[in-house]
Amino acid sequence: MSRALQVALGVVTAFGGFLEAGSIATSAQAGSEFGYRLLWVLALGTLCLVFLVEMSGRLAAVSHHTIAAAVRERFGFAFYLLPLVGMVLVGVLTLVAELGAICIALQFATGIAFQWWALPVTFAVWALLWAGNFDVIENGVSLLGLLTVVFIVAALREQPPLRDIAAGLVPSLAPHDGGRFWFLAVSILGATLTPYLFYFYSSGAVEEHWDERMLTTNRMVASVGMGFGAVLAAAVLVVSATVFGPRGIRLESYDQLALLLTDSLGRWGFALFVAALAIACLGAALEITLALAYMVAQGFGWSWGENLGHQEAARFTATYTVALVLAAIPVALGLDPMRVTNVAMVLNGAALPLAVMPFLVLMNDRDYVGVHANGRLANVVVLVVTVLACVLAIVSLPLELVGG
Amino acid sequence: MLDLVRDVLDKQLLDRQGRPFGKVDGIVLEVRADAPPRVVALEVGLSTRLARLPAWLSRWMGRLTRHAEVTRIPKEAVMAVANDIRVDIDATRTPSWRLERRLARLFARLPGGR
Repeated sequence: MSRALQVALGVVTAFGGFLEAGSIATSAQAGSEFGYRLLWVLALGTLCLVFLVEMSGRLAAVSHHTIAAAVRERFGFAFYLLPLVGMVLVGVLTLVAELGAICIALQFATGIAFQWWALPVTFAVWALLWAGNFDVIENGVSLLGLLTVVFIVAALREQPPLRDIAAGLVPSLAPHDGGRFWFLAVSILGATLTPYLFYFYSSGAVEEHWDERMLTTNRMVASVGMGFGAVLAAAVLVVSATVFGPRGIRLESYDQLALLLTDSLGRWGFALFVAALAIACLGAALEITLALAYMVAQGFGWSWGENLGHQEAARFTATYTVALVLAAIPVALGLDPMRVTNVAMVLNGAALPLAVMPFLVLMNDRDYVGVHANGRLANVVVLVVTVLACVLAIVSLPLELVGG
Repeated sequence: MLDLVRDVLDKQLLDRQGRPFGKVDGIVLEVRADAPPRVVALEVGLSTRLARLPAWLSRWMGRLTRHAEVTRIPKEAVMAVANDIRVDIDATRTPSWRLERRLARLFARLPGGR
């Protein structure tokens, strides 16, 4: 495959797979309550994400290790348990949010309450993993995910004031309601920087046998793909700011959010929103489920890989099956998907140091990455944003839960 | 010269067929009276892993997993130590493959199992 084609495919995959329940919900909430004022947080999160994704591809290409395997090897079993347990808990909760959002989309489409969809949806996700291979899943879902471009179309049709959008990209403090502002800020950071994303990316790179020749491609895919992807999240925020902002609506449920596109796209808006939500969350559910199985299998040294047969990687297959079953239970019990999404995204922020700190050490260890160790800029950006997300999460979650 | 903790402990183990079957969870040393200790074997298994956790945690988890068996690989079977550690054994005949085998049998019976 030529490099241009590789880059194009990688960018399409990153773009089509960018949005998920967390980024849609938190961007929309931020827009409706604070206009464009939280755009800078999204930009900051994206910058950090670009670095993290590039780093995970570089680690895989140079050391032929996934992040999980390298962390276990470098820090030992006792230490590895800490990020593993933290990320599995947060990952399963995020999976609950994605499955819940698919079920909500089906509720909108059929009128049948979302909890009845929990089992069929979970089974469908499992069946796709059971029958598909890595390329089919990653490329297929991302191509379908291009439908999320409707959010950009809607944002353009709303003709938002460009001056206000530009002002929103400049860091500013809360205009009112400080607790809620920072809660949404960390929700956005958590949704942008979900650890499964870069753990998944490094596993994919190892599964596709990347080597040092892929470093340029990796850099371009990480920056252009994630950069364009973030435009989708920004579009959701902008549409929400123009549609819900002036009406003073605080988004507490998907019922309200479903009307996001009707203002700009009319009758089709509702159907397109439902389809985009379902597809974006299906892609995320597949990736998170695989990422959970990758983390466990790579940490324990089992054979793993979506391209292997079930009998060649039986414990890996069993792990993703168990993860899906666990995540289906809260959805089937009727736990409110929007609330789960909010809590999951903040916990993603809180758990970020567990996922990032050991990874950052690896990226500065010449035993692993040789001359391709991190530069100072990457270290500083990742460190600052990670600490910021964690501190904000720990401070704002109790306030929000007590206040809410 | 190998640094046991850096180059061996927690590394990926591959059997004779290149099958990944665990990480080096422990290293068995022989302590001798008038010579430095020497490596006798590598271990893979839950109880070896648990022994490396803080005492309160391993005691609590040990109760749940009392019957777990450990796979011991004699030093002579180690073929190469590089990115991974290759050993001259058949992993499918070791206790650490037991769960993998049971699950594989189960999956073979499901439709589409490959």
